[in-house]
Amino acid sequence: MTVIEQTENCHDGVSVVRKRGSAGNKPSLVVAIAGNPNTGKTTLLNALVGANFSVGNWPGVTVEKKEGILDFADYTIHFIDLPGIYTLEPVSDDERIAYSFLAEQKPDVILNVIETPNLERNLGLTIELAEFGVPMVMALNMADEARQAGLQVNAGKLGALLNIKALPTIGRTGAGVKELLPAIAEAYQTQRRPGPIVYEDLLEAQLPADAQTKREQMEQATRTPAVAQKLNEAFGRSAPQVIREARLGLADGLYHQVAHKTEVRSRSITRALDKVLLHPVLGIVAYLGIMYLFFKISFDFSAPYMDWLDGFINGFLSPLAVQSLLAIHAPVIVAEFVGEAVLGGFAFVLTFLPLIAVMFFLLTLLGMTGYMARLPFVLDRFMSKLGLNGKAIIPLLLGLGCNVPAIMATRTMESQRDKLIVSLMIPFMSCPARLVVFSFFAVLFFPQNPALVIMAMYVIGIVVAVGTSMFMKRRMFKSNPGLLVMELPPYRLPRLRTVGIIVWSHVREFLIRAGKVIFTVSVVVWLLIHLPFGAKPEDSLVAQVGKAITPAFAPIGLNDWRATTSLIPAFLAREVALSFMATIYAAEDTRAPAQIDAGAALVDQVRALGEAVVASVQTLVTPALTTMEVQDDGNSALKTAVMQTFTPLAALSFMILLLLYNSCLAVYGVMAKEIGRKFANGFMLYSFVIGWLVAFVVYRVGLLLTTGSFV
Amino acid sequence: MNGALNALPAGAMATITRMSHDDETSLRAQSMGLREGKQVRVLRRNGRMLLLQIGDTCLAITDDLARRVEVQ
Repeated sequence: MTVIEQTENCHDGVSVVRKRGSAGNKPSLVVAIAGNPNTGKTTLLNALVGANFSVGNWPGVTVEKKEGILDFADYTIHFIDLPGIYTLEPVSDDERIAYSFLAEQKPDVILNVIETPNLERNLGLTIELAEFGVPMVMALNMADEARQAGLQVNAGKLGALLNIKALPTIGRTGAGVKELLPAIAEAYQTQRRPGPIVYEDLLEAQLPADAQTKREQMEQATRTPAVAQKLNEAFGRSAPQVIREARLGLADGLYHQVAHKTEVRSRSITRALDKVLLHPVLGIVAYLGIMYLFFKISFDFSAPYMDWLDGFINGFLSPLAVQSLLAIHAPVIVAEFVGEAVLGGFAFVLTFLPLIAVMFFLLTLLGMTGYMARLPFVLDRFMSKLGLNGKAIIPLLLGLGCNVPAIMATRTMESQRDKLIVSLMIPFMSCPARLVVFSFFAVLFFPQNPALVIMAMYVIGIVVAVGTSMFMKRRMFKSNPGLLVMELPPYRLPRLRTVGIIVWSHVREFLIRAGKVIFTVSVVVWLLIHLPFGAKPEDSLVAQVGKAITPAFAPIGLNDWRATTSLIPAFLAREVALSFMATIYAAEDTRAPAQIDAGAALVDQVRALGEAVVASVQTLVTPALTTMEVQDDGNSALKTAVMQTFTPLAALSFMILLLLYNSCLAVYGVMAKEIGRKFANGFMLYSFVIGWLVAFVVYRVGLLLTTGSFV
Repeated sequence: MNGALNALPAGAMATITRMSHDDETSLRAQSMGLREGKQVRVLRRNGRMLLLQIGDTCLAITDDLARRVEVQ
């Protein structure tokens, strides 16, 4: 019996499986769920185990790992959903994971999930799985769709030919799903092995006799030069190709013995939808509409909840904590540390939650319905010019709303290369937090044409993003994007429950993994700003750092320490630059009076939550995008102070720097999680250098144009 | 008549007679159902992409890949 320790080693921080698996005393069975992509494995797993379901990552890669657990009869059954694959020849990450799990971890039972309408193709993988000689059960999933398509499958005969149990299921409704459990237990108890798998005589004659399983035999045959040579001579093809064809041939034979197509009926709904959605013109129009809705719902719908959470923590919990701590005579620094640094840090993390939940809900919906798989086809004309996969457009567009969920959305991209390149482009897509700073400066210094200046910022960001992608491709990746094949699955309505559970798993992962980094850095920056305690802003640690780095910014026109210092807290979030400047220019006292009436304030908070719900629902019926609307910061004292220290060109330089250098702490947090700390750190340096260089060029050219001299 | 798959117009049907086994993408296409002896219909073309129907499978492939597939 396999002991399920492998989950202990993998770095997915969240696994319900582990917690429950170790608590029960029943023997545990490890069942690997294997099948082609789009066979409904995840829905089936969800139907089997309900909420005991978790989404994590396979160790070392960004491929999702879904697991579930349940008690059945005498066993605790531990399901591991292998990535959807077409073959077990380990080429892509997905195949390597599935292959090494089957070959090295040796599950107790394999549950082979079949997309029944597509049985013929699916059986190719079945033959490869059967070669492992592990007890196997087959779920002929989407049995209803097969019937509608006029395909009859003799499940009993298929099972008998393969020496396994084959059961029809409908994952979406749960029909037939529970019958899989006794079949799994029985397959394990009887240790009935699938097969035997026997290929044609000419091939069998060449296979080594001393291997334990068919899989080993086949692998040895390709690895042993003498055997490979003989196969090559006998069949006139390379040994791996001979083996591939033998497997596919066996699968074809099996299919024709058990399947009967009564009439040729195509998937009419998919055909009809594709007529529009894949149309060269209508498809683009539909795509723009869908993206608009996606963007609108992600940002506008979640914004009221984000604002409410921010207000609830920073405007209620935080002052309440400070007040309570002072009331019990805690030192002021302790009270402020708890209220502002700790709770403020939590607020930084938590305010992202509504956005991430809504975004993942929509993303999962787009993925599970089958629309996402069509984007590369629809958008190829545009995206191939940039050398990018069509799916890249979703994260890039999301970046205009918020870089954090955008980087998380790169999870939908199959290729590591594309995921990395797109993740490094996203931070250059300007977000509304930067827009707040841009509009403040643009209105102040370029009152004739603030919109043009803001527009220029967006364009500079996009140009740098595209340049980065081209640079990455030329320098780091030399693969050939000209060869591409992908499957367009039929459109399907996913189970809302499955979508919900997947969304929750992503949200939990964000809280645990990215949240840690964001929280820690925000506390450190708070300390920099407030230490030594009681000092004036100009004597704080952050000001000392700011003063020390001022010479590095003098060439781009920023020679005032207050400007350079405000770049440091701006790393937390762009709009913080403004409030920090207000403090440091002593134009505003940010210390709010710490006296609040807890009862009355709580009532206010509840009312505010009610208003947030109403506001979010209202966004659904307002056609305009409210995320992009800008409110004037109205702090005239700050405006006067800033006017005195910045020249218009220096302001432009400052804006460019804020646009380009690593957009914010939360972006750094998710980047470190999604593409690794090495790339996140490298990007921070790279984006800073690029930001500085662009600002330098703009500042110096600006000087030349306005004064006739570079200096 | 023999020819390359990428030369077929939208709506055309043909049988695959030969394809490359040398590159990973062709092998992937093979495991996805695009292989010798199978009937294929070109559903649509868009830019450098071809949309194919093979049995119950719908595949999108690039022009470069289709050039490596011989059909009859």
